[in-house]
Amino acid sequence: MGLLGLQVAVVGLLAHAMAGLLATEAGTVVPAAVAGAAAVAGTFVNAALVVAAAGVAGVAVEHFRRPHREGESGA
Amino acid sequence: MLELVGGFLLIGALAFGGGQAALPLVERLAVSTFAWVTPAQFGTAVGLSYATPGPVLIIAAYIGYRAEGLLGALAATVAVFAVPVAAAVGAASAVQRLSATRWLPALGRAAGAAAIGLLALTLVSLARPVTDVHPALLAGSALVAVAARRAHPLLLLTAATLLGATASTLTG
Repeated sequence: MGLLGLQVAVVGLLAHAMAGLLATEAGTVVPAAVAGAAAVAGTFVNAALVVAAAGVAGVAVEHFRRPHREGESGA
Repeated sequence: MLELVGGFLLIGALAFGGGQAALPLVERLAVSTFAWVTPAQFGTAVGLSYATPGPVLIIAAYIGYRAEGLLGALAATVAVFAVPVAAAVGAASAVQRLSATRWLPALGRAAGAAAIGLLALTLVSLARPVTDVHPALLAGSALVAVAARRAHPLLLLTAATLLGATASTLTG
């Protein structure tokens, strides 16, 4: 009970951090969709697996897009 | 101890998007999987990691301490930073080469976005002990979220802790 104030503040700070991360890292449709899908998947599957699977999917998508984007640095 | 080290090695390896984005992994491991800390204790740990200097993943020290004492704190802290440090220092040139390829940035972007989505679940998990006391307390969280745009997190954490302790004393 004594640390309830701290917990209230942590929830607020994390919400603020999440809003910031959403805006900077997932501000477009595809990353936002990945974030939404991960939130849903995370309720059923191990979180580490969700992150790893998303990373692999990202690599796969980039691989299939490669012929159309020849010459770009990828940065 | 092996579970602690293995878990935090994995978290360090998957911490795309920074420490805050890795919090869902830490929460799942420490609260749901191994029950090293309770949801309320995890909330406190996040608060402490915000309040102390350095990266948020220093939360590993608190959780390691709760799980295995001082040695656990040390082991978890070393483990969580081992992979990123090894990647940055030991294989700096390789990482630089890989960064020039498409797949590593693509992996980072997708994994980072997923981590942000998972952060929503962590937020719900952290909010649960608060709403269990009274749902209206979330108004305080919303106030902190808005104030965080201008005020330093340490100031907000200190003010909220003092306010909470005062309220707790007054209500007995």
